[in-house]
Amino acid sequence: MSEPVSPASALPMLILRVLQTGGLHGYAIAQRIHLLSSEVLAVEEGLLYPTLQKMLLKGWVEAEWGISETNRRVRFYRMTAKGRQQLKKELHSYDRVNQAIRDILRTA
Amino acid sequence: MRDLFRKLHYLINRRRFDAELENDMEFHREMAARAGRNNFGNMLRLREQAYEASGWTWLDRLMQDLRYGIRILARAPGSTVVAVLVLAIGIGVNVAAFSLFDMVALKPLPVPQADRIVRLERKSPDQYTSEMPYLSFEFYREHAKTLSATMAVLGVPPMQLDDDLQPTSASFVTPNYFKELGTQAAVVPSSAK
Repeated sequence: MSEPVSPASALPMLILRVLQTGGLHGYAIAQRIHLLSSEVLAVEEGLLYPTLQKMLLKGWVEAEWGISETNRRVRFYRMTAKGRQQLKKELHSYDRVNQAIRDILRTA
Repeated sequence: MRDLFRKLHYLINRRRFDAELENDMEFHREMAARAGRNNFGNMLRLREQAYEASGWTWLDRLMQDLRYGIRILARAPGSTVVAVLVLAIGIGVNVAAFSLFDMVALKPLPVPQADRIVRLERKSPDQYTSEMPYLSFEFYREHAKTLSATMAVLGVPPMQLDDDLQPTSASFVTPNYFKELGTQAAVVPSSAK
């Protein structure tokens, strides 16, 4: 496979989706995205953490302290109710946009 | 509303949140290093990016600009003083002029219930006047049903009192003038009841 791609515009949506099943720390979120996409997508920490910060500010996620696998104190991010709503919204919009792009590519 | 509180919370505890984020990123780097990828990047730039996401950078920039401005002004006291004086005079003159105008033209009459005072005027196609014959005034006084009191003022040319060098301006008023306007005559004529 070629170089991994950074999913910049869809990142908040991906983060929320990954957090749907429970809270994760930052590295686990990046790992999950990388592995679940069969290593096609790779999120750089330089993008991940500012995005998480923005999402914290918007109230889509909340952070709580936990212990990592390496016995280190680190923040675990968890989706909020507002985040759940936002995820729904973004999934819907993403579907629409994708469908629109596919239509153009197919018929134009 | 809750959004605002959250944003304020982040602003107030900015340093702590920055440190927490830095901690997260360090942990990320540790884990990545263990997995064999040393993707460190530029630490300072990353922290800056995370900080920029907090949405309060305009405040920081404003404070920086203010401090810079003060520093520069302090280095050139002469021109600063001149600028301040010019501003002070300009603003002062405007404030004084407006206050004067305000007192004269814009403030309501300093009488009780100023919104209930009306002045009767007569109009013709070309002009209007608030002067009327005394008999008209009496007529209105007797017959008007919506007026609680009627007063009249008669202006006369300035007259010379005793040996004063300056002529005195005077007006004649109906007896109820002072009472209706909520004040008292300085000297009450002995013939008034």
